[in-house]
Amino acid sequence: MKNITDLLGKQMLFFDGAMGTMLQVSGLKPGELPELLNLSHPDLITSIHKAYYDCGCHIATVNTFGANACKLRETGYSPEQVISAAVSCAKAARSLSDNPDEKFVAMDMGPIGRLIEPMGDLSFDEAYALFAEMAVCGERAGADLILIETMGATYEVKAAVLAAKENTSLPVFVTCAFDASGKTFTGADCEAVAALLEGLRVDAYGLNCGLGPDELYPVIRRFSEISSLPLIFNPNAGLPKQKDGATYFDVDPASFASSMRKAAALGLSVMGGCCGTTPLHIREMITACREFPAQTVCDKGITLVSSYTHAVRIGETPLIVGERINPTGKKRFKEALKNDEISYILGEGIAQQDAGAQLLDVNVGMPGIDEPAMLVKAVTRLQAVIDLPLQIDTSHVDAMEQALRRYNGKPLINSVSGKEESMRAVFPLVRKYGGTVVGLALDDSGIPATAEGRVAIARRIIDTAAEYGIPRKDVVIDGLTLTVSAEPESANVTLETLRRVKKELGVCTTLGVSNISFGLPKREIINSVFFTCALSAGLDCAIINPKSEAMMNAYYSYRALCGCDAGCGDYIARYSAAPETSAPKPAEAMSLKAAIIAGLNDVAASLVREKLTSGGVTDPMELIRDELIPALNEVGDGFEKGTVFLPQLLMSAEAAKASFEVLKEVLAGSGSDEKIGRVILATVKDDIHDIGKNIVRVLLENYRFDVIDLGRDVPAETVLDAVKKYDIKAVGLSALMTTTVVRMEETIRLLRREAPGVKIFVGGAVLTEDYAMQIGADAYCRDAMASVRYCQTIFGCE
Amino acid sequence: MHEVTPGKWYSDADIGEVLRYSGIRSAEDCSGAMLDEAVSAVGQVGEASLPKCITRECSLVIDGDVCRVDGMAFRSASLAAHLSGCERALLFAATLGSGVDLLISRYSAVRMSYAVLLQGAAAALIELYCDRECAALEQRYAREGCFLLPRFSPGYGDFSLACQHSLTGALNAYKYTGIAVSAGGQMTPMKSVSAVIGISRTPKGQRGGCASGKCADCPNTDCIFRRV
Repeated sequence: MKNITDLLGKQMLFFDGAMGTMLQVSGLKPGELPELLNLSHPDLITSIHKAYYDCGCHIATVNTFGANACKLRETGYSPEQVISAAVSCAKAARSLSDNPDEKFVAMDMGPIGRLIEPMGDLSFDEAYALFAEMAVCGERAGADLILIETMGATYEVKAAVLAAKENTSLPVFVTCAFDASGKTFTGADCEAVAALLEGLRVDAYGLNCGLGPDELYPVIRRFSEISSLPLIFNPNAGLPKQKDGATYFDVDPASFASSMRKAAALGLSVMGGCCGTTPLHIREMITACREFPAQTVCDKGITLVSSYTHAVRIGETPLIVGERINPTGKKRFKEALKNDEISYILGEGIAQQDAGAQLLDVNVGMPGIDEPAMLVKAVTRLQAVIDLPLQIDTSHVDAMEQALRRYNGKPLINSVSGKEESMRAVFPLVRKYGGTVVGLALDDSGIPATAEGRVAIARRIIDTAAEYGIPRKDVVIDGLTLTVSAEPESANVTLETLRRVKKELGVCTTLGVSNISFGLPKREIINSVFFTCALSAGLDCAIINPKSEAMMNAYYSYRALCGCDAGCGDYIARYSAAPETSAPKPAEAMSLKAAIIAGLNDVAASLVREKLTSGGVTDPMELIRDELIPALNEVGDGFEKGTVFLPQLLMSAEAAKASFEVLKEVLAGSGSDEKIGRVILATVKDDIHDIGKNIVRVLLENYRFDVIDLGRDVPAETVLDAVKKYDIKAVGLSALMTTTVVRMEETIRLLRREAPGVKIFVGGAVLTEDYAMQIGADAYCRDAMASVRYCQTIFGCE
Repeated sequence: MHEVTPGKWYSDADIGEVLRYSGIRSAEDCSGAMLDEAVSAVGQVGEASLPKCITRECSLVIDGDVCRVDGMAFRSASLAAHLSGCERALLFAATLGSGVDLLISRYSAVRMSYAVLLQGAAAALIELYCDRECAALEQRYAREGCFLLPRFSPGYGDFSLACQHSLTGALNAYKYTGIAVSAGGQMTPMKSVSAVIGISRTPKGQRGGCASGKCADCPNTDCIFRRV
């Protein structure tokens, strides 16, 4: 019996065609689980596998697409029973077919059918456990490989691949479903999928389902241009159509074969069919494609890092890595980390993306913080709101591993050094989870004073990475920026290192640019000039502050000058409409109160700053009392009377928040920034709609309440734990659907029993005053202002 | 001014609907700046969306309060009343895709006022998309001399949200559109619709009950989004 990896890449291999289509012809009804037929009609399943083997296909896909514990829950059968029966059917068919030594049985794992957080309600770990159970059962039953197929969500792919690789020794093939736009349904393009799967070191990957071979030809062609691994192509026989109430697929066997022949010429390793294909389709395809040589699999040498939607290619044009998510030297950031203010971190990320960053560095290391937990939280929350690839920046190996595991894509990893201990700890993680790693040109002896020394360390890092199976394309060297005011030669050494790393080692480069100017006045001036020099010396990834106008001016100018900006298009787009720099618009004409009512964030913030610096206001509390609160009250009253509408109410809230942020800098540590009281907010268990709860949070925060937002889909026990932990007086619960109001009632019941003193206010589209009382709430709040008013009553500050 | 970019699938979006879903009664109630924001929200939602739709024609037998659709049984008096007289029905599911959810989450983190407008735009655009898909289906069935009833979704009347599982399951909606149903019976991506559409031989004007599928037919007169 051969191993499939012995043949992969050496000859063209063929998958079978559809199982579901064949079962529907045999009478499977909509909504019935096809996997149960492995137990009730094993002969039927075996005969379908046999028909495909007889056509000449090498791999039978076992009838286990949806055999996960989640989908089987109400059937009375376990995955073990269903999978064991399914694999037996395929093995029986193989034993009845010709040349069984070159025929293989693929354990099939399709999507769970629920999206993983944050897009859905399934946790990454739950998804992993469901796939792990399937994979283990498949291997135990005797499958030869694992096929993870029809995947539309990259996070689910990652959970499935890790589950298969960590729990079995079987080869892993993966195919994703793409639409005509070349994206999966969660928006991942070919590059994002290729980067993720090559990083995870699957054995072969490609696409299946979705559309017919002609519609998917551009997608498989794109994969053939970028892929360094064996490719799989298993399209549908077109799209499902209906005639006289029956479903059919419109690509006949001859057309299918002809289209697949065209695709085979691209250089593929494995071909087969998905929905609508039959043994006839597969027979004709094999006849048309069998003489094609197997794909020449070679490393394309492309350095990709990715998010869940797209990849960025390092080395083509210089890239900006936003440096602001890092507490070093930032008082406000440290305070946010200490107080678990994740929204502050998200705000920093979004602002950097808006300013032009193509990647974001994420560093949350600080004394006294649980770095693994905080890094995972920052990464998962950032990837819920930002689609940029992340650079996971930590020296804490456990934090690095946990963050890499939960990252939805292929990250940059910052960093490994030339120290043996560092390489021993970091490289196995890079190999396992995928990633492009930043190699720091330092070792146990410190940072060499010469470019020669730094290049030598870089070479050692690249060579050692290769021993771990990490190709040189996935190592980016940081030649290290030192402070020029302390070491006058350091800038030259760094620039020389950059040039030599590019020339002698042929790998990509990165630098934390702004380190150069520590201790100097007007740092932006020297930073931007050094940045230009570094770009000129071959810098690929610049870790900078993208909100710095001077740095971005240098960046866009350099790209235009060095031919990286076709027709100076980006430069023109950025600067042609920009007004000439002039003095800031005087804001004196408007009062702070008026600015907040009008929802003008910038004006409000600058007014506060001005009043505190030159406007004669000595007590910040005076501003809160005389301007901010009256403004909020006026807008709130208007909202209650129906003359101000929700977006306007929130715009005012945001302007007030911008003002509070300025005040916070002044009040920090003075003890004056006291909150009225602490309130918990949560959307109840099973409910994933949280916009209403988020609106309430924004307003409560503006009225100086300290809000602990537990998020959505929150179990009753979690609410209770938080009530006890924070000694809470008031809890706000939200539920949108009739089905989840039941969970609200359960939560209230638990709180009444275990925390009888707590006041509970509720809201949500399906609730009414009567119903709220019926389920035991203290108050029904029909909108966000009503929640504010109720909390003011509880805390005695009406 | 205040116009959505032409030439896009969402160019026909009704800004009045976007404002209504955002909690603003009408365009007269808001400033020009707010209208510009609403238009911008439509553009952003439109660009973030990957609209997809799937339908399946099924046999329909109504037995008292139970509608048997290709062997699946939906117990709902309101659905049965709505479909009365039909012998076939379409199962329907459509979504704007998860990119829209992420866009709304992004602004919920930093600018809630705009997130509310995005939410309103997304609600208006999923309706626009569904209406357009249904109009194409209506044309197709008109050629057979049939008329389509308005979409009737789980959650309307006594048509239980729990039916979302079997409805989307029968459509294989996750595989073809990415629509999943959470443990609590809610669809993700959030801007998704599932429905049953009756196929009738009787022209709309000659049928009683829900004819247009719009607010005027709905018994929930307290709804805050009801069109005035």
